[in-house]
Parts: sequence; structure tokens; C-alpha cells
Amino acid sequence: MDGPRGGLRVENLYKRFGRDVAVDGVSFDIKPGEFFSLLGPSGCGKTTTLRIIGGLLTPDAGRVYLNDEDITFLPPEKRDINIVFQHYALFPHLTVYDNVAFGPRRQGWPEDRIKAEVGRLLEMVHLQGYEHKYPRELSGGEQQRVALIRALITRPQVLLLDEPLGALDLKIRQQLQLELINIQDAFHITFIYVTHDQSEALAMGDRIAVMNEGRILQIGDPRTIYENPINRFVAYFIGNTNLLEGRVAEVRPGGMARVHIPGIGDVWGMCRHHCERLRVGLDVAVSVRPEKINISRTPPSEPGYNTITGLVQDIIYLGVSIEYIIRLEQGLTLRVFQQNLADDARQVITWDEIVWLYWLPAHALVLID
Amino acid sequence: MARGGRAIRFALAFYTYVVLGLLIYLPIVILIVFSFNDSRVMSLPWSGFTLKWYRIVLQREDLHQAIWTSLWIATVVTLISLVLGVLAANAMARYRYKGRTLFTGYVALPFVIPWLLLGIALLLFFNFLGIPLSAWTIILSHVTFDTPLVAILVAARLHQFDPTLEDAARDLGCTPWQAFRYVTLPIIAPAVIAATIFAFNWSFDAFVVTHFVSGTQVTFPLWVWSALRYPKNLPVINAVSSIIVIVEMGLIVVAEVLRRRGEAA
Ligand SMILES: Nc1ncnc2c1ncn2[C@@H]1O[C@H](COP(=O)(O)OP(=O)(O)O)[C@@H](O)[C@H]1O
Ligand SMILES: [Mg+2]
Repeated sequence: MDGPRGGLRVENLYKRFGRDVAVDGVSFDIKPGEFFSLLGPSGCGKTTTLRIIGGLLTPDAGRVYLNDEDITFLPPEKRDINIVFQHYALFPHLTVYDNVAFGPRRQGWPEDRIKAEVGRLLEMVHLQGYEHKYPRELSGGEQQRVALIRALITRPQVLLLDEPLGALDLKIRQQLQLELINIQDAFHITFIYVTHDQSEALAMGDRIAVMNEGRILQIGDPRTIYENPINRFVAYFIGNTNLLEGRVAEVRPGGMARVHIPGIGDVWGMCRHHCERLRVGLDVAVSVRPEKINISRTPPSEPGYNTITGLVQDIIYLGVSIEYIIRLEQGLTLRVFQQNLADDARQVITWDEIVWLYWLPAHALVLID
Repeated sequence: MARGGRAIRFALAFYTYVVLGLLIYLPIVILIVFSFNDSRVMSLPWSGFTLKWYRIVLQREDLHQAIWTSLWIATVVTLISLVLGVLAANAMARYRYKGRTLFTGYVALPFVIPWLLLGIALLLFFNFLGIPLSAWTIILSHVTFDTPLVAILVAARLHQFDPTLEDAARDLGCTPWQAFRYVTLPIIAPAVIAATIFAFNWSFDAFVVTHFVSGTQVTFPLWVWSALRYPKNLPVINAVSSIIVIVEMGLIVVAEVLRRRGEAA
């Protein structure tokens, strides 16, 4: 072995089913040992992409490289890549022990090595003593853990996880998220983690690729994706945001733009993607995250804010924060989050009050696409 | 209401045990009982218990020869039908392609064609091609109805089989054949074993179709048929039939238990 292993690159993957294009020119480059999340709504082509990488599907066009070696047409059993399937796909006729031992046996490990390693991994995921149970006797979380160590035991270079926690309760999911991160650290295996849950992707990924309708829209670390989305879809899909549709009224050097929003007036925002296309008269959206908006009964004391007024339509108590739904002109509503500070004067804001909303132009993104 | 429910339940129980029991099992019970009766005529009064008919069964060379012929033919037919039927079941249950409905329809055909017509059709077919009638024409004919039987029993099980399991096997290092051998086959095994037993029975019991295509071969059902022409053979037929009924019913029970266990899993 020379150099780190587990670097995976795909180039322009393309796959059709009949007339439907499931994967439409997907490319990314994953570093050895990276935790890479593939995030997108249901049906956007995540599983198809994963199956191509795992060798269970052949792409109509495009290439898959493992450590710069072209493996596009290598059958799955010859790839040093394993999959944790969406619904686990545990073998129902085999015990937990035989399920986990399945890969090692195909690789011809001696039985005493298999025994020691299966025992060690079962202990790692808190399933010691489960050797002789059958998959149907396990809870969802337990099945998930068995599927995980079954795929891990032979130490593949890359592990593909297809919505591995999707079918589990919130509490178990959060616990397993932590376990997965620890395991990935301990094993130094490249993870490609497919999910449709944006909070999971933000919490777990070193980098996230946001996918929609067979295409990758944006790749970046969680912070970049959240703070600096490339278009309306990414802004809306990751976290919550307020999208205000309007028209550019003025452009300043450095990406600042004044956007006229019908019913609200003019707001200032920052353009960070495709800014060369920015010009007066262009239809754009301004995205403002609910937690970036201040809410108050008085206007801001300093200048430099985008400032509007609205009517409190709803107050939702979320524990750590309070969400306000503010009605503006022309049927528009804005969501605003405020941290739940017990001594905060804002808490006395009640229904049907007129309030001031203000936020910094740097926190308002001008989105062209 | 409770009374009405009980009446209905009683009626259903009566129907199941008495009507069905009488219709299906009484003739068999009578057959077995009279195989121990010390008389050539099969009627009351009871003439005393004897094992002599069974002794004759053990002595009749022509009967042994017929049973042997049926056994080996049924074995060959079952093996061929298993291979063809499991392949057909895969085609029916797993893949989508043009003409799939047609194929499924073809496979179901032998279940709706009267045996008599099937026998005549096969005879004409062999004549047309100039194939002399022999054990092999019997085998070929039995395969035409045993293959669909196997296909339908196995396909029913394959329909519930999650193909992702084969993907998982491939992913963990299996070639396509190994994935079938280590994952698919063990999971559909109960259906395959049940199909084996049913297919063997169908071939062993086949009379109508065999009758047309046997040439000079004498299978067990054909032997019974010809033996029936001599009334003195009747008690011997009773005795040998009793043995075969017991063995076959045992096998069918095993097959059915396996099939149900497969469905439950
Ligand atoms: N075997 C298949 N045959 C036909 N269409 C398929 C098949 N697999 C996936 N698709 C279609 O391709 C698209 C992408 O599916 P998939 O990759 O499973 O999405 P995701 O995993 O993101 O939910 C969907 O529209 C789906 O219906
Ligand atoms: Mg999927």
C-alpha cells in the first residue's frame, strides 16, 4: 500500500431508467478518510449514484475511480467498497454471527480470526451475546448496527451508507449518529453518507453535496452550504430560510445590491455566486435565515440595517428558541427565530402587535438561480 | 348472536369433517381396510384378516418392474423440471420484459388444459416429428406439466424475495452464482423442496397423459389400469395402492408443511 487509500472520484455519471434520467452528470472527488454526505430530497438519484459506486449498477456514461484506478466496470465483489443498505438487507436465514461473518468467509479468513473479529465488533456496537439471534428478532436499531459491522468487518476502503438511520426514532438516531462518527474516526475509512435529512448532513459531514433531480447543485463544508448557498433550492432545502422574490434596483461593486421586493420595499443584500450576471432589472431572490433577523418593538438604534415592520401573526414556543410568524404586505410572511432568553424584553411581544424587523445586509443573500 | 355464531361454526365444522372427510378420505379408508380382507370380492361381510395380498404384491415381478419404471421416470422428470422450473420462476418473478404476461400465461397453460387433450396433443406431436414412443417420450410429456408446476410454486416464493439481498451478497464478495447459492437458494429452499415432492408425485401418478405416449412402457398407473381388467387382481391392487397412498400422503404433508413454513419466514 503506497499512500493513503480510499480516495474516490466520480466523473460525469449519467444513468437513465427508460425515459427517466435518474443521475444527470454527477461528479465529485472525495479524499481518503473523508466523511462525505450526499444530501437531497427523495427520488433525486442518491441511491442510484451509490449503487453505481458500489458496482451494482453500470452507468450509461461517466467513470468511477478508486485511488485513481478506473473501476467503472469492475463487478461489485471485486471492489473494496461496501454498502450499508437503506433497509439493511440482512440475510434473514442467517444468524447475526453468520451475517457478519459473510464477507470474511468469502475472503477466506480462518474461522478463529472471524470469531475473534465478529466478537470484537459486536462488543463495539453493544451487541455482545447476540451471535445466535436472527435478524427478525432484533429491533430496528440493532439491525442497523449489525448491517454496519457486516459492511465494516473486512475494512473496505470506502463505506457507502444509504440513509442508514432513516427508519429509526429520533433518540436512537441521534445516538447512532455519534457512534457512526466515532467509528469513522477509529477505522479511518472513507464514508459516503446518503441522507435526505439536512440536519443530519450538517451535523455529520466533513463536506456535503446537495443533490436535486439527478444533479449536484453545490459541494462544500456544512458552514459554507448553510451560510452561502448557491441558489434558491439549496438555501431553502438546508435549514429554514425566508425567500423574498424581487428585482435588482441598484448594483454596487463587491456584490452589494439593492433589491426591490414588492410589498416590502427595498432591501440590501450580498451576492456571492454568479455575481457577474448581476444587473439592474434582474429577477432575484433574497434569502434571510430566520435566526439572523432581529425582532423588536422599537427600530434599531444604529444605521446600516435592512428594516421593515410587520404584524405578529403567530408565536411558536420551541424551547431553545421562539419562532415568530410575521405578516407583511401582500400576503408575505417572514419566519423569525429568537433565542429564548428568559429576561428578554422581546418575550412580551404578543399576537397582533406591530413589530420592527431588522437584519444586516451581509446576512441577506442575493440568489440569482 | 352468540347462538347464531355457534350454529354457523357447527355447520362449518360438520361440513369440513363429515362432508369433506367422507368424500375424500372414506374411499381411501375403505381401500386400505379391504386390502386386509380375506376375499376376492370387495364387499361385506368381512371375511377375515389376511396379509396374503401384500405377500402377492411382494411376489409380482411385473408390478415391481412397473413401479421401478415409474420411479426412475419420475426421478428424471423431477430433476429436469426443477432446473427448467426454477429458471422459469426467476424469469416470471424477477425480471420485467416484453411478453412477460404471455410467458406467465404459457406457464399456467397446463393447469387449464384437460389432461386428455394434452395427451392427444403430445401424441400427435411425437407422431408428426416421427419420434418413436418410449420412456423418453413419457419423460418429455411429464416435463411439460411438471415444469410449470415447479415454476409456479417457486415463483410464488420468489415474489416475496427481496432482490436487495442478492445485491448485499454481491457487495460482500459473492459472484452471481455464489449469491444464488448462499442467499437466494437457502431462502427459497422450502418452496423448492415442496415443488420437488409435488413434481415427483405428479409424474409418478400420471395416467392420462402417459397412456397416450407410453408405447410399450408400463408405468405403475398403466399397470393398475391393465390389472383392473382381471377381477382377481383387485385385492392386489388394493394392497399396493394402500402402500402408495400412505407414502404419497406422507410426502405431500411434508411438502405442504415446508411450503407453509417458507411462507411464514
Ligand atoms: N430500478 C429502477 N427502475 C426504474 N426507475 C428507477 C430505478 N431505480 C431508481 N429509479 C428512479 O430513479 C430516480 C432516482 O431514484 P433513487 O436513486 O432511488 O433516488 P433517492 O435514493 O435519491 O431517493 C427515481 O425517480 C426513481 O423512480
Ligand atoms: Mg434512496
